[in-house]
Amino acid sequence: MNPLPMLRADLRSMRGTALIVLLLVALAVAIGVAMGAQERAIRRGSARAADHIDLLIGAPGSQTQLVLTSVFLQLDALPLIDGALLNTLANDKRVAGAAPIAFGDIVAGYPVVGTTRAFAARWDRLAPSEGRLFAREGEAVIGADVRLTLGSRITPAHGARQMDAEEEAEHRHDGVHYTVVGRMPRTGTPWDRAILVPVESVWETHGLGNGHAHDDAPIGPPFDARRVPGVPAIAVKARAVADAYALRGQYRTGGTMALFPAEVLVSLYSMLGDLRDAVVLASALNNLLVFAAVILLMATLASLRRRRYAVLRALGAPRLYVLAVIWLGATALLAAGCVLGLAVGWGASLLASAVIEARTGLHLVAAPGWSEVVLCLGLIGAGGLIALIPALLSYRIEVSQALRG
Amino acid sequence: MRATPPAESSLPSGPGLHLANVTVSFPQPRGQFQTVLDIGQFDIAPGASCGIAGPSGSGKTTLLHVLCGLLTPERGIVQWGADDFASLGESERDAWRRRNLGLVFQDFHLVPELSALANVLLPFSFGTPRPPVGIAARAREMLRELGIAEPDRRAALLSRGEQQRVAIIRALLPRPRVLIADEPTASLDRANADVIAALLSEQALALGATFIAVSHDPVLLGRMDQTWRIESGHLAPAQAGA
Repeated sequence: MNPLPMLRADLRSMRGTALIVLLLVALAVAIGVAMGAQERAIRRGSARAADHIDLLIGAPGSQTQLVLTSVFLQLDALPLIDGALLNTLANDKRVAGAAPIAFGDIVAGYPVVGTTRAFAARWDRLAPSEGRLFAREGEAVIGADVRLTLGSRITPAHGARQMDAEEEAEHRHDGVHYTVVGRMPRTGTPWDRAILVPVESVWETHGLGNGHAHDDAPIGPPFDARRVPGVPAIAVKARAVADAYALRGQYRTGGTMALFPAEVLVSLYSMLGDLRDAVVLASALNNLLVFAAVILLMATLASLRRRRYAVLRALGAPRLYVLAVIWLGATALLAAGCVLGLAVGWGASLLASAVIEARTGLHLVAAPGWSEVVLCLGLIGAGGLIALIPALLSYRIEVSQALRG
Repeated sequence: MRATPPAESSLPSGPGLHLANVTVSFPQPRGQFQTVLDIGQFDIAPGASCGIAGPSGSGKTTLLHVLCGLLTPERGIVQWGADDFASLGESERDAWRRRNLGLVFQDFHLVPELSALANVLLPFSFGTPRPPVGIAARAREMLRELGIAEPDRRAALLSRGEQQRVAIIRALLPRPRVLIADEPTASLDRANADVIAALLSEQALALGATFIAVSHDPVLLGRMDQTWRIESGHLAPAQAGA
């Protein structure tokens, strides 16, 4: 028995319907696939972004906001912590490095982040790909994706969000200038879109002094002013894992908040995961509805073609042959729709990743994952099962009656 | 435009037909039944040809479906040689048709999306045994002999006469033991009808197949060994010259 010639003829005879069914199924499947792939991409990309900061210390408030602002540079006004803490931490034996993360200004939409040379180099993990790190106030090193050239002079504007050029001009700190002296390599994190400057410059821009006892002190720690200006967040690198836990325990109380960005992300992921599960479940149910509609359509088509199949029976085709033709036709359409949906879903996820990357600088790799393949196979299996319905209905074709049409 | 008789022209004759006390009735509204077929006895000798004429609504199609095993009568015997339809299940009757029957419809019933060649080969995809070796070549040869110049052209694009020839090749290619045709010339113009009538009777003869044709066509009926008339479900030998 070889139902393929007839299967081909059937598919050809319903080209238009087949195309619509294919697209319908593909679209339905693509939504679930895209959600799954995107959620995974965001999880991986954001985890990578959080790698650069072991421990964050900030003023008590929203942990999520502290992470979003310091790790993902989704700038928001954060309460400040006493800058003197920088010195305390610098003298702590458990601390390998402590750097302020201070912001408040933007240039052409890119956040200006004040910190130390050590943190700009991510505690020696990064070296500038062009030029050098900032060495004195008024110098800036830019992230890989900042569209500025080395040597350009920029003027920061006060603000936390993207503003249009005119608005930015209104809020400009006249008289404050930075010269771009270097560019950092790509990290795949929002920091690729940041302009890093000495924290002293940020303090001074906002009239807080430079954090040092003398005006002409070299930049960087120790900050020996009588009153060190406050900072929104401090990134801390601990000497050992145990130290990191001890530091977190210590700075959790007493006017500060300490957290591992990774742990905040985990709780965000679990929320994101729940959301993803809900959406994927809803889209799976949706898919089944679409499948059911498609099968109903196929059953109607098969019934309209009663006569065509009755002719085959009159010519000696067994019922199983007709069943196979109808089942294969419906299943092939559903399966092709699922495979197309998988491709479209991944494509959509790729596109969404590109959009997110363009907006936030968070590099997302929307790689095809097994879970979507499994989802797709499951859908094909379910499709194959419900495709049996119109196929089995063909057993009831009364050949003699159908031939009279 | 004439098919050469198959190489083995002296094939054993196809099975004879034996019909006895066959009745078929269809349900009517208000729970009544209308008898559409009531045949006392009807026999055809092995390898003989028989025309069946009759007005529309006389039960011709019903009779034909009974003869093909597509319709099971309420009672009576339908026997082709040793094969008794009453003792065959639906699947076995499918198989019987596959192995023994060549069927030609008034409206050809080709699969329009398939080529002429694919149409004539289609019945070979129904069964369990693989298609015989060289069947495609034989199909092409028959198509060429019957004037189908483009065997790979889609059936829907062929003329009516061509379509009926393709349908006949589809019926003849498996060398059936029984050939049944339902008004095979009714949808054709006179010239084409004559070609088809000659083709069917000659090929049936060459194959030794038992040949039954339901038809109004005097040309086709004239080529048959005997002609019967059906009227209101009753079958009787036609008067000479009818």
